Amino acid sequence: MREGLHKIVPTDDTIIAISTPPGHSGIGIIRISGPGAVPINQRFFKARGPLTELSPRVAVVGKWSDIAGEDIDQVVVTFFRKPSSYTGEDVIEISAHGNPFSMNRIVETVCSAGARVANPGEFTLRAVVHGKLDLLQAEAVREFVDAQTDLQARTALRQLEGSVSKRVEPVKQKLVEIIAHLEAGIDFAEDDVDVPSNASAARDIHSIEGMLDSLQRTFGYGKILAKGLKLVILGKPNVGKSSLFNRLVAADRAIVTEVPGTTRDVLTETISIDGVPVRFADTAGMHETADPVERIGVTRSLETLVDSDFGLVVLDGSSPLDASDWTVLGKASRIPHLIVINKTDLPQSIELDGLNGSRRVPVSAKTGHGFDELQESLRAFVVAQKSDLVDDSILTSARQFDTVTKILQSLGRARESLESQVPHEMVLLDLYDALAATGDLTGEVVTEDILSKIFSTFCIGK
Amino acid sequence: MFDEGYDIVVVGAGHAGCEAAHASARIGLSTALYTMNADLIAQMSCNPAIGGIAKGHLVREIDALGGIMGLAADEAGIQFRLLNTSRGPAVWSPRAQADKAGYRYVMRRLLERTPNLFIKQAEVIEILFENNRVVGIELLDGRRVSAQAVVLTTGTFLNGLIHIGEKRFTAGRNGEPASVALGNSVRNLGFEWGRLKTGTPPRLDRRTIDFSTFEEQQGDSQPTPFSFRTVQPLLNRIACYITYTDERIHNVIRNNMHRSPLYSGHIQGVGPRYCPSIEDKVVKFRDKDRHQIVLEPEGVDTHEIYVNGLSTSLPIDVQREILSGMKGLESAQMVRPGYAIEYDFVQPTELQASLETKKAAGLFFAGQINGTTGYEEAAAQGLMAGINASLKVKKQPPLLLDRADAYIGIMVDDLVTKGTNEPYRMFTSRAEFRLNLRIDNADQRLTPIGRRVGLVNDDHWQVFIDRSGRIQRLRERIETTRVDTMHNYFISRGIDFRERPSFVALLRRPDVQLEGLIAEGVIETEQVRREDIIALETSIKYEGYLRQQVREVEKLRRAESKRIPPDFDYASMPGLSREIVEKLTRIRPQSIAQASRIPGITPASISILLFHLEMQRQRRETENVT
Repeated sequence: MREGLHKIVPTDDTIIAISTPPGHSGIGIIRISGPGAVPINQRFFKARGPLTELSPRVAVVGKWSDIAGEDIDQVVVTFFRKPSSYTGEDVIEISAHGNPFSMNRIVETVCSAGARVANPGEFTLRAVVHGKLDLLQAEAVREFVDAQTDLQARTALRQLEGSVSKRVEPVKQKLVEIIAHLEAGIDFAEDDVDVPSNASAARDIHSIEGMLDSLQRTFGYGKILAKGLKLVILGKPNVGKSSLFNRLVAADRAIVTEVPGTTRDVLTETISIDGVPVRFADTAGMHETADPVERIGVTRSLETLVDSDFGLVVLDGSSPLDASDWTVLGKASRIPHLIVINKTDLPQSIELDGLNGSRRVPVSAKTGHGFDELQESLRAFVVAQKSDLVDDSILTSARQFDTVTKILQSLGRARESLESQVPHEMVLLDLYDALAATGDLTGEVVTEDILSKIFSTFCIGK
Repeated sequence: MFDEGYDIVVVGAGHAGCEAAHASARIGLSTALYTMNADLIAQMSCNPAIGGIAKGHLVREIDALGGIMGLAADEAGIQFRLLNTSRGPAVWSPRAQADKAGYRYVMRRLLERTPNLFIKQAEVIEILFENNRVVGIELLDGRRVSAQAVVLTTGTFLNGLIHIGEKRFTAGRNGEPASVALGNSVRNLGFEWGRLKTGTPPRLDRRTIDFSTFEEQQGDSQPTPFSFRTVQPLLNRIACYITYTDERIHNVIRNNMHRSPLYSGHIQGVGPRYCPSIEDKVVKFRDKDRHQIVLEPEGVDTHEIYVNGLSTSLPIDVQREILSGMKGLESAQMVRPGYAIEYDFVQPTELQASLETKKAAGLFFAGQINGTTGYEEAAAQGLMAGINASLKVKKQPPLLLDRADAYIGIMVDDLVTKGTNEPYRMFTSRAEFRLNLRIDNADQRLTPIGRRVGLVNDDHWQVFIDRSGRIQRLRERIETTRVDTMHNYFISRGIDFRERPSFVALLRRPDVQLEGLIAEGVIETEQVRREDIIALETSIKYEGYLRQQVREVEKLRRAESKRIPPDFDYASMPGLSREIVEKLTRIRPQSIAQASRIPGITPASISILLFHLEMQRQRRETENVT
């Protein structure tokens, strides 16, 4: 079994933490410590002045960017060369604006480059490991122990509250089950046990991936930062969805013709609104159709709808509402949406009575009329979503998001290995990694679960 | 004061005792091996087989270190099978049916040919101490024998109690007396002890069985030996036979459940979950309509047949009723009935990783007394106890294998770190570094270690050197040979190349097998064992997985290198709960890594421990400077 090693916090990787208290403040300080601090700084920090080597203990003004190279915030960076730093390692200290949202984007960016979010007291632990704290030892002990005790208490609390933990539990159970079946096939090949086929094991893994995917989308932080918001454009055929989409993303991706129903698939494009990636999905028109190809498109539209955070319902202002429009409006009512009345360049014959209370924006996708207002409405929506994130659970959320991402990666690898007939003892490496990571979410450590599961599932022993 | 004296005394000549005595004698210490019956040395109390999945790994490892179980099993083996070959080579495991009488005979001969080793028939009744240090043993006949170290391998004999239905009687095995006097003296030593249970099926007379409806199970056409040193050809001399129970049999069992000591509450000891009695299987797996039974001959010169899968403590008349209801066994005569046996074990958390007890210096335990089950598990511990008792006498540090070295290291670590509540058996799933712990590289992992401690003799060492050379040359050959892409092997299989690949690149293709390439002359090599070829190929095909494993091993080794002083005072550390302090104080882990494996130890307490260790180290350094 794999218990043990993952209880040990490594002291040789790169860690990052926000050192200032959570919430809005004038200045927020982020510290990175470890061998990756300097390379990470090099990658994401653009000094305002001419590029020079980092000099220890010199504050440099510049901009911190994300992975795509887009600026997150204006910051001041100070470098402390090892061993002359608090931890005794290379330390990069970033003073940013105290906006939790952008600070967390910086953290997320740094983590995606190989660092991880520090545990409470971890900077102090490193200081001790590198022999930095000899004068302040008594104080350090107290601080460190408090931090650890606090961590334990919070882990316990989290288990009690069990929000995430409760949702990860079935994932863990299912994973234990899959592992137990594969292990039973190896360890009890001599016994009369049924081993699942690779295809069925891969299917089981796929179902766990689905569970985690939806869990991941519920993390406000992860949802917005890593995946972005999903915005779907809805409407019956030929109301001008594609033209609207094209104008919004300012790119010629969707095929636009006069024949209704040319956008048969779901096209997507991502733009940044207020620093948040927003993924637009243009869909095939939703109406009853006999054309099989088109029908696939329509089914996909519905899937996309369910998956989206926000919708734009497009109506044709130049013609009265018909049954198809009402169908679309009915479906859209499942998610927050804006109603876009297109074709203001043509004579208007739409009657707006009976529409629900959603905000309405008249535009012309052809001339660009009304697009300023439309974009402003979108921005307002995105900002409203962001404000949910400004609390101190954001870091926990970031860590959980990272963990779920790691689990998903491990599961993906395991599934692919199964599909390409890699022997089970190798596939299991990734499955055990995934299982260990679920322990980080549930706060409990997985031990002999697997053998117990095998013995309770199979009649072992001739 | 003492009538005789030896460096080392081994109590019990089962599978643990034989390896222990052989190891210490081979290392050069005078060794006495005590048994209650010198005719039953290395008796296989239960099934007539050695090895099996994970157990076969243990036997290979014992052999690689210089132990003798593999040699004996190869010589006394009467049917050989390599298990799990439909999976990767990491989980291939050899198994052999053995001739029980032959195995005893071979093992006794191996022991008698070992210099410094003396076989003694006598009952040991007490272990003698001076100031918490072992000084010898006392025998039932009144003699006192001095020793600097004692290895206790009592099997099921320590206060053994047999159950057959409503009947109960003390015995070590059916027909042999239990060690009651020694049992009581061990109970008084102050160790945490408990009771475990195991069971065995009835044995039948071959002449009264109708085999015609059974499925026959034959040995491999190319048998795989346990020992790297075995040169003689291995012979498959018998077949085994597979059959199944049915619902009618299950009903017989259900109707008589009240007569099973397991369910009437007479048996208190915990039995192994992976080797349940037939009554357990019927109760716990209600919806399974049949259970597999394998008939295994106990030898080539005997009619006795072992009924694998029918372990039971039901009364003899019920055993008979079960058998008479089974097709082919309707008129089977029982040679011996099945029975359950309870015996004393000592919680292995009482041991250090060297298998020496924490409380009494010089006293080592191995085998079932440590809560394990299985011949191979016992032999592996016996070997380690024998080596470490010898090193102790020679005043050298103990040989400690870690979890990345060997299955043996995993077993010992599991036992001393976590203890056990049921008979402990080895599984490959216990090995987190399973891909590296293969039967084909057991010698690479362990023979140099065996050589260092003085257990691997010159002949054995030469075998190792020769084999290493062959594998190395095969590797070089693969790395330097250019592929003849026009070879018939490829053309006949429709394998087309855009450019000429290296052999290594070729082997990465899932549809290309090195064994086939060699067989069809695409690459010419000297004679190498099949498992070596496939192991080498695996290391190429799945390089990524192996590397992933190597990184984990490095992590383990770093954590193992963070040692915790044996006198570390956990109670004085702020931040640890009472429960955790109690656990750490009882187990006394040697390293941060071991501490992390103790059940119930939290990640936060590991961090605190690490923190305090560093602080203490720095304080010491400062003090040393000033």
